[in-house]
Amino acid sequence: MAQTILEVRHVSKSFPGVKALDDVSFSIKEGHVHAIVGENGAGKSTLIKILAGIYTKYEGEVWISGKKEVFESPQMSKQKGISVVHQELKLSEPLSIAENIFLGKPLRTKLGLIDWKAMNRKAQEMVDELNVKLDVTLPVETLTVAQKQIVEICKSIVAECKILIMDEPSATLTNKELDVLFGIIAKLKKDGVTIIYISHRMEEVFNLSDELSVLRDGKHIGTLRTEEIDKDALVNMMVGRTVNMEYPRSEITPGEVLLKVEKLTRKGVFENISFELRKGEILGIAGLVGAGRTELMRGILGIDAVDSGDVYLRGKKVKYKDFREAIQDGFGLVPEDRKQQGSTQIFPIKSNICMTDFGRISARGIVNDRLESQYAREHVKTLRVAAPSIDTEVQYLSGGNQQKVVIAKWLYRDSEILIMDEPTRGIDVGAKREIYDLICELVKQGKTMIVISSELPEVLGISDRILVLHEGRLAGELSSEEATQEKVMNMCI
Amino acid sequence: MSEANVKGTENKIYGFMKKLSKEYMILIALLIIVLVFSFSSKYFFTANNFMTILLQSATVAIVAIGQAFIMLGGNLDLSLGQNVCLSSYVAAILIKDFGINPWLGLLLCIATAMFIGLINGILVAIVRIPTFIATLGVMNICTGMAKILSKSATISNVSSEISFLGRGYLFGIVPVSAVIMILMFVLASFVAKKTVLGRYIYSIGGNEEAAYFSGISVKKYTLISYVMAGACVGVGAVVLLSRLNAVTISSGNAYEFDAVIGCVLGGISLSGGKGKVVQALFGVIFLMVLFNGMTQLNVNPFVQDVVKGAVLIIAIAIDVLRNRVKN
Repeated sequence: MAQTILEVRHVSKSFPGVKALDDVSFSIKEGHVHAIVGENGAGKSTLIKILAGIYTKYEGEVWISGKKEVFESPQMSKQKGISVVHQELKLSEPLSIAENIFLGKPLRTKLGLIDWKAMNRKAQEMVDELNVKLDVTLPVETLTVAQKQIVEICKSIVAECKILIMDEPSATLTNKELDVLFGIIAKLKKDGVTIIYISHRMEEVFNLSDELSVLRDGKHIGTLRTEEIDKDALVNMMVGRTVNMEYPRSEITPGEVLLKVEKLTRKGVFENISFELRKGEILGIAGLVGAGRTELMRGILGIDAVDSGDVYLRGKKVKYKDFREAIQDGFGLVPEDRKQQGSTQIFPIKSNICMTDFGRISARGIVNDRLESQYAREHVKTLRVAAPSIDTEVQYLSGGNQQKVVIAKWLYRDSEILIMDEPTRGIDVGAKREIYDLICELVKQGKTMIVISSELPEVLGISDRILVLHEGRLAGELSSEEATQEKVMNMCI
Repeated sequence: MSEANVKGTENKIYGFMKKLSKEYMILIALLIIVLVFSFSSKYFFTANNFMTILLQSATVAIVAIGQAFIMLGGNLDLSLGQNVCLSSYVAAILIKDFGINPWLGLLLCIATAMFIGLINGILVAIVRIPTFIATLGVMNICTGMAKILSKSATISNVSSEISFLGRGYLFGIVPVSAVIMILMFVLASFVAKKTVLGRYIYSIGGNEEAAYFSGISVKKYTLISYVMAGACVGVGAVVLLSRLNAVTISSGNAYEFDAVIGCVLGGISLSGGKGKVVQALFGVIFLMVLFNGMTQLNVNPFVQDVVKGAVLIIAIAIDVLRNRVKN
C-alpha cells in the first residue's frame, strides 16, 4: 500500500462572485498517476495554482509527506518538490534546450564559469533517457509544442521534483506525440515521481491514471481507483447529469458545388490540394497539428499568399488579396485561438458581435447604439449564450460561451460559408455538445461549414465528408459512412 | 416585486457611483487638489487664475485629443509636441516672410501637421516600425526641421489679424481658445463614440488581431488615427501661435508627454481600446491645475519637473494595476 504524499484538507478559495473551490479534501498516493477531471470552471486550475504557490490566500490546509505546508511563492512550492508543467509553457525561446533545462541553476566549472560541455552532455543524456530524439543545443523557439513540453519536464527533473503536475498537456498534441509523452510519464512513475494529470480527454485518463478525483463546480465529488469506474459513469460524475455524446446529424442533402479548390499550393506548407465543398455540407478536415490545415484555410481566404492553384466560388474564379474580400464574398472564420484572434476580451459581448459589420448598425458613418444592442440581443438569444447581459465583457465568460460569441459574429454578418478551426478546443463536455447542435442547426438554416478538428471522434461524428491532410498533402477523402477512427488515423500518420 | 424594484434602483445607484468613481476618478482628484490649493494660496481661487489655467490648457488639451485617438488605437505618438513647433514655424514663416494671407497660413499649419501625422501613420501602420521608435524618429526630424527653417530664432508679431483666436474673449468673458478646445472635445467625443470610424479605432486598440479577423482594415484605420492626431496638433498649434502671436523653438516642447500623462490620468488605457476622449480633457486640466498651484506656492521649477515625472509614473502604475486585477 502506497503512502500518502499529498493531502488537501478542506481547501476553499473564492473570487469575487464565484466560489472556485468549496471545501475540497482528498489525498494522493506516492508514485501514482492521479488524474484530476472536471468540466471547465470545476476548479482544477485553481487547485493547481494553490499547489504551485501562485495563489497564496485560501482556506484549508495542504499537507505534503505528513507535514503541513504553507506556500508563499512558487519558489517555496518548488523547494518542496512540486513542479508544474503549465498549459502555457514558460520557456526562454531564444535560449537552447540545455540552457532552458538548467535555467536558474547552471553547471559551473571550477573557476565559476558556466560549464557548457557538461551542461550539454547532461541535458543530452536526460533527453536520450526519455527516448526522445532532440539536439539539446537547438534554440527552444525551433521546437514544436510537444518538444517544448519535454523540455519543461526535463526542467522538473533537474529541480528534483517529487510531484509533477501536468495541466492539460495533451490539449495541443498529436497522437504520435502523445505516445511519447505517455512513455515519459511511465518512466517518471517508475522512478518514483508522483504525477498529477489534468485532462479533458477520457481515453487518456483511463489509460494513464491509477486513481482519479472528480471536481464539479468547485466541489470534490469523489476520488476512486480508475479501474472501478467506466467512461459513462465518469462523465456522469463530472457533469452531474447524463450527457448524450451521440453526435447530431443535419440530415441535409448537399446541394450544388459552392467552393472548388484546384491544386492550391503554398510551397513548403501545403501542396497540390484540390477539393469541392457543396452547399449545406459539413466538411471535416482531419490531420495532425502542423499538417497544414489552418494554413490551407488561410491561403483560400487571402490571409496568406499562395504560390499557385485556383479557387472557384459558385463557379467563378476568385483570388483574394485580403481576408476582407473573402468576408465580403460570404466567408466567415472562427479562428483556432479564441482569445487572441476570435474575440476582443476587454470588450462587451455586443461590441464583439457587431465588429464584423459596422455598416449594418450605422447610417452615413454614424452608429445606432440601439440597433447594435438589438442585433446583439437577438444573437445571444438564438445561440443561448449564458451571460448576465450583452454588456458583459467577453473575458468573464466561460470558454464555451466565448466561442458562441465568436460564432455569433459571423451569424450577425450572415456569412454563408463558415470555417471553424478547432471549434471545441478547451471547451467542456456539456458546451461541446451545444456547439455540435449549433453547427447542425446552422446547416439546416442554409449555411455551409468547414470544420477543422484534431479530435477524431468529433470530426467523424459531425462531418458529412472528411478530408485528411498529412504533411501539407491531401492524404485522402472519406465519406462519413466509410470513415472510421482507424482509417483516418492511418492516413494522418 | 416592489422589493425587487427597490433593489434594482439600489443597484442602479450603486452601479452609477461605481462607474463614476472608476471612470471619473480624475474629477474627484481634481476637486481635491483645487481645495488644497485654494486653502494654501490666496491667489489660486480667483477668476483670473482660472482663466489663465484654461488658456494654458487649451493647446495641450487639443493635442491630448490626438494622443487619445492614437492611444485608443493601441499606439503612442511622441512627435506631437515637436510637430506643434514645426507646423507653427511653417505658418509663421509663410505669413511673415512670404506675406501670405494669415488665414491661409493657419490652414497650411494644420496641413503641415497632418502631413507629419501621415508620415507617422505610414511608418507605424504600413512599414510596421514599432510605434515608439517611429514617432521618436519623426520627433527628432521635426525638431531639426524647425531649427533649419528658423535658425532657432523666435518669430514674433506674426499677425494681429489672427491673435483673437488665442487671446480674444467671446462676449467679453469667454476665451475664444477655450471655446475652440471645447468644440474640439465635443467633436472628438462624437467621432469616438458615435461614428464607425471611432468603432474601428477602438476595435483595433482592443485587440488588433481580433479586429483583423473580423475584417477590419487595421492598416487603414491606424494610419487615419495618426492623420487625425496630426489635425489635432494643427489646431493646437493655431491656438498657441495666435495666443503668443509668436513662435519659439520651445513652442510645444514636451506637449506629447503632457498629453500622455493627461490621457492616462484621465483613464485612457496605455494598452489600447479603453477610455473616453473627454477623460483626456480632465487629465490635462488636472495637470495644469497642479502646476499652476505649485507655481502659486513658489515651488522650485526643478522640483516641479520631478513631480511631473512622478505623476506620469503613478498614472501609468494605476493603469497597469487596473488591468492586472482583471487578469
